[in-house]
Amino acid sequence: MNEVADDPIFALVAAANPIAKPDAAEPLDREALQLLDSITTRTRAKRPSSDKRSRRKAAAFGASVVAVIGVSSAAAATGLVPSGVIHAFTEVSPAGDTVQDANMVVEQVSSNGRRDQLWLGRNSSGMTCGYQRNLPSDGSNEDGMKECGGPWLFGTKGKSVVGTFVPAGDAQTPGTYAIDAHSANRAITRIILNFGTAGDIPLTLNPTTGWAIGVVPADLTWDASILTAYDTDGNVVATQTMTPTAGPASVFSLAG
Amino acid sequence: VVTTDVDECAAARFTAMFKQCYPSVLAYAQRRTSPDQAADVAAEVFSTAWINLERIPADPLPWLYRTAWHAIGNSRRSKSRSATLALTLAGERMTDARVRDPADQVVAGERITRVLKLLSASDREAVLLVSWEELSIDDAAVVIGCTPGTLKVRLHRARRRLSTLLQQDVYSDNDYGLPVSEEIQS
Repeated sequence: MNEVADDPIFALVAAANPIAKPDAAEPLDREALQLLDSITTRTRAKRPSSDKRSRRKAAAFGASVVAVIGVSSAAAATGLVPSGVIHAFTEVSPAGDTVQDANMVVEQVSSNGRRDQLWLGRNSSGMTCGYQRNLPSDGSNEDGMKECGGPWLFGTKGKSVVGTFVPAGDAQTPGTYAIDAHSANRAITRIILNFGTAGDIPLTLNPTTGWAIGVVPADLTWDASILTAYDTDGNVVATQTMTPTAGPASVFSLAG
Repeated sequence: VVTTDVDECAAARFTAMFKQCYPSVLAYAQRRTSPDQAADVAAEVFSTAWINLERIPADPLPWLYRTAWHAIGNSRRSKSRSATLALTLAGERMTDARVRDPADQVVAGERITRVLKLLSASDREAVLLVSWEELSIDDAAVVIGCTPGTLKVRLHRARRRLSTLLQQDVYSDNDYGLPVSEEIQS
């Protein structure tokens, strides 16, 4: 029991709990005991000191920001983002429909050669399908979220900026997320995810399609951030506080 | 293999923590993922706990839930967000002996599950931590990674929204199956 136990709304939620509270007196089953044995027989690796961890975190994030800034400018300058490229992919769930005519709407190329792309198309049911395609720099297999939802997948249509956070592929450090966003407002030329003192992550924006993409390092997965869209004069067009990416939610919509 | 006193002490502490908390962590994961994923999440949580044993506070459960929430977030890397976004539907797929009466679940569960999905992730998690995991405000704040005061604000906001949604008892006009964050500036 806790402070909200008497509240009727929370009581209603509590009544919908699909799994009752475990009985503390109940002995563990065989699978749990096997897991316990398998873990405790492993060697416990020594962790680096907290100072070292902080320095590593700062260095890793710094490198990411530098990479993204470099790529943002380079992509815009050299036209790395093609349009009209056709690609087929099959959604993972729920129906496994193949999307035959997806287009790449934005691409970010990191300084280490890693490429993150967003492909969009429709399945046979007319649902919007997205493929967050991640191409690791080491040439290993491509990876990424493939999902259909409909009629629209990325927040409330018509808002200035809509988008979603998605896992950034198995080749990445666990907890790394990609952010895909679309700007319907042509005045928006920059979209930045700000993590306070930890720094900014500028998204790579394709001015032709209005789509933007960025990568959130795993170290920041638990941090809240502020997503802000700017016009060419640096004025804020729209801004919104974002929940930590690690939470199981991801769609956002900004008016402006 | 020669084990040191330190290793034995760590193993003893870990074993006690595992026996005390494993069922709760597994239940936490079962409430938020599929049964298969739940076992994987619990295994990942305790593997992480073993490596980080010296960082785990005396009351380990909030730390373990927080790690589980993170692990569930990582499991979205299976590329199917919808699978892990789906809260466990009452009366569905649960065969565990501890499952409550299915009739009650169908009545309350589907309706609640539907409106819970319309909350933001952190608000929903706050509600579930105090309602399903029965954590105190202070412990739930540790899991979410915010202050108790902030958690109270989230709970208040979530309660207000839940109340409205339950009165309406309709699906959101967006049919993406995903919650939409609240705007703070137009």
